[in-house]
Amino acid sequence: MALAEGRFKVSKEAWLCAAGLLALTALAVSADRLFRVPGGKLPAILISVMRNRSLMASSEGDNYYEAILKKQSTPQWKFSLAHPFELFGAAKNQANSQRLYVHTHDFREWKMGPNLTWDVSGVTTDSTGGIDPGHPLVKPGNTRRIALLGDSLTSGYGVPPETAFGPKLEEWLNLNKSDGTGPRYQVVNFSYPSYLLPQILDIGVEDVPPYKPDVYLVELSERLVFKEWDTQLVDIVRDGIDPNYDYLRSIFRQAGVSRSESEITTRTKLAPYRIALIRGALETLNAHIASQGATMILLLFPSLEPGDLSARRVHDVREVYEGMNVPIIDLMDTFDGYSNKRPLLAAPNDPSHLDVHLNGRAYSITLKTFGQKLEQDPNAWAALSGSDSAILPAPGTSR
Amino acid sequence: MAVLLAGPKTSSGDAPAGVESYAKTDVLKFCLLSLQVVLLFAVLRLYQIQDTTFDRVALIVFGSFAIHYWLPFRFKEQFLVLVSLGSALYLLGLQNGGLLIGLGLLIFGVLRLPIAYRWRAALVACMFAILIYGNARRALPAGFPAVFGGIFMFRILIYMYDIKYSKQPPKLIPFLAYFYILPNYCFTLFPVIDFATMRRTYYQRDYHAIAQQGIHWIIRGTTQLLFYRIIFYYNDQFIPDRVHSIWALMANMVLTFLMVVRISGQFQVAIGMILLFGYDLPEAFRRFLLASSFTDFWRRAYIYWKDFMVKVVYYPLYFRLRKKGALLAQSIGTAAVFVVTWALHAYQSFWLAGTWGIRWTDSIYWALFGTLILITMLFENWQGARLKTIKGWRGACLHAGGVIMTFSTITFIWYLWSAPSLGRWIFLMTYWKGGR
Repeated sequence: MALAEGRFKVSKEAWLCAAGLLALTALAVSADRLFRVPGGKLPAILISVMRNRSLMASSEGDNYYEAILKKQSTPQWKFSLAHPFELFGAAKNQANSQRLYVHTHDFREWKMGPNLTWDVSGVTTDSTGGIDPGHPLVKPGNTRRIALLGDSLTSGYGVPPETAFGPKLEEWLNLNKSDGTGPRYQVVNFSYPSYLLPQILDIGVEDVPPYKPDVYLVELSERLVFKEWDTQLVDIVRDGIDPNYDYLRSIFRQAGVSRSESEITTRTKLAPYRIALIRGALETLNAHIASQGATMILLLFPSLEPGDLSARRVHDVREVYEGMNVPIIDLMDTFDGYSNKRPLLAAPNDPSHLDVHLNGRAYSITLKTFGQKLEQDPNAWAALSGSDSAILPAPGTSR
Repeated sequence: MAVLLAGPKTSSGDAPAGVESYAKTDVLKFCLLSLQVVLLFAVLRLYQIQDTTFDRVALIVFGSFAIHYWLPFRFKEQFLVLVSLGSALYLLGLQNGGLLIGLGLLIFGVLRLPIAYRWRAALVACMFAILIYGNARRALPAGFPAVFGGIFMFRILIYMYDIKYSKQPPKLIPFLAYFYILPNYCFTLFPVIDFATMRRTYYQRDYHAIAQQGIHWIIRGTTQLLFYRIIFYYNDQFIPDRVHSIWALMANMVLTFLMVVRISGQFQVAIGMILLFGYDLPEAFRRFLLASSFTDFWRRAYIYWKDFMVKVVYYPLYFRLRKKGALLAQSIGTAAVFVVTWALHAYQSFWLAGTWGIRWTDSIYWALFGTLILITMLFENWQGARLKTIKGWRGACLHAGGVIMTFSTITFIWYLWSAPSLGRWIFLMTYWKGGR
């Protein structure tokens, strides 16, 4: 009798387990459709979050177990890898670290090594370690020049340069320009991988003006405003480097940071000033751009974080950018409806699972959203094109 | 040689009668188990539960399960050992896998030497001292210390403890089966499985019930790992300058503590996988969020660790001191357990993360937790019997109050433990008072 009951219990448990597993499978499969169902966005986002393993590797917790588990998630195994980029963040990155980065002991702290190529190092640099903007210094006549500023997301990290956002944008803007009407567009890409807002500000102030752009298209993405936002500031404090800009000097003074204290103390002191520091960087850049007679457009640019984490992190600082009185193009909803973002990653097989960069297909999707957002916002289109002309149809659509 | 290689006890040897009958095959039951295993693999892949190494480990485990099931009982454990050793070479590479197996065999060889136990123990200690020195100097191959530590750092203590009191010399297959556990190659943070328990529970009841239990735990662990991601998602917003109300602080504290489900999930997946091969091990976490006292939390959330500490620290001290009074022996034993736990967590961090990682917050956490356990233990000695007699609604309220008090206190000290420094913790605890 007891044996029969035991058998029934095992069998019942087996069917319950199978049903639970089937339900989990159905949830995963239906997530993309849920995005389109009224009231389905939150469940779809949560399923998307559950389907993404990068969270296991990107945990920032300082808890004892989290630290060990994070270490466990970093690759230490040897597999044959099909694509060289898959090694980024792993052994090859360490081996190349001397070449990838050069410490400059100035406000920007470091720059990329010379003569890198995207297929090995994720980025292409010239002999001085600069990212080649791909255009001559002198602007040709009848040309509207757009300077693209940002970090690795807009620089096209890990993809062939011609498939990144900047070149795709330039190509789209110049569609139907063969008839010679209106200006041609040039998108000069000044985006620099791993740079943060103060460094981007410095590029905008120091490197861009000789190119005389008409528009500064400035990326604002999660990395620039969220957990890593203070890394370079902490470094310049610890290295005793002059902060270069008045807003930084002022806030450093108020926060009471000093070179002699620990990194964690500096971080703790700067934390309450995060919003003020982000605002300071953007407003200083905006003032500089205005002094050059150019226009600033903010581009809220998504990364491929799970769910809507990327959007949540950027929208967390909306009080800063909404008060700036500059056109804003918000692309953060671009990947809504993609519960599995792995096929869109620049390095889908990166063993560290930390890659959030876009591949060529993802940039095309982003550009399509960009076009749609401009269609909805004539002011942004006017700021970008410098005219009231009719906006181009968004890529992949027809009128 | 036969003695050296001896695997599981069989009915022809000195095993309890009927062990082999628990391994009796049944096509229908096998199909039912296999159906779940296939679905499980699909879920693990669809949700990208861990990394690529885990995907491979899962594939090997589930594939081996299907073969292992049909093998004659006497070959089952040998087969598992062969798969585990082969997987070490495949997953870790020839260098690290070979080194891992080579060192394991060397340790076994030392433990088989026909010399007194203390000399064998001293030789193994010397080997570990050399490896610790090598790890401290970063002289070991990349990735090797974590996986070697994950496998040997604690289990070697238990194994040596058990063979010290064993009347039989160590045998190779049980040694290999105990140390080279498949999921351990991808989960370096691993439950401290007890050697004697592993041997005792091998096919101790009907295999299908054991395997079903294993699948249940893997599903439960997987669900917890998925839950972890949702917790992470909601906790993500609370970077330091965003904790600007008491509610935000409390939410951040609770979510930070709940992130423990990652370890709980990982342990349950790992133990569940071992159950698929007939080892009827105890569960790794048992409804620890519903613990009604600190000692209850210790028993539910640290099941394997608690057993390990009781075996190698508490009992030896207790039995040595009990002539001076049971209460004194209990108190000293408990205090010693937490001092050793604190030290061994640093030792664990040294192997798995490459740093001793002793911070003030670690020391304070273990000191507070140990003190709470000690006080609760003394209180239970004093009033425990009386409290157990309280039934009905008063008993239920008392229990509920205990659960809330335990959860709140553990959440609080866990938050402290999760801070990188005391200063940072004070900042996090007080920032909200300033408002925005």
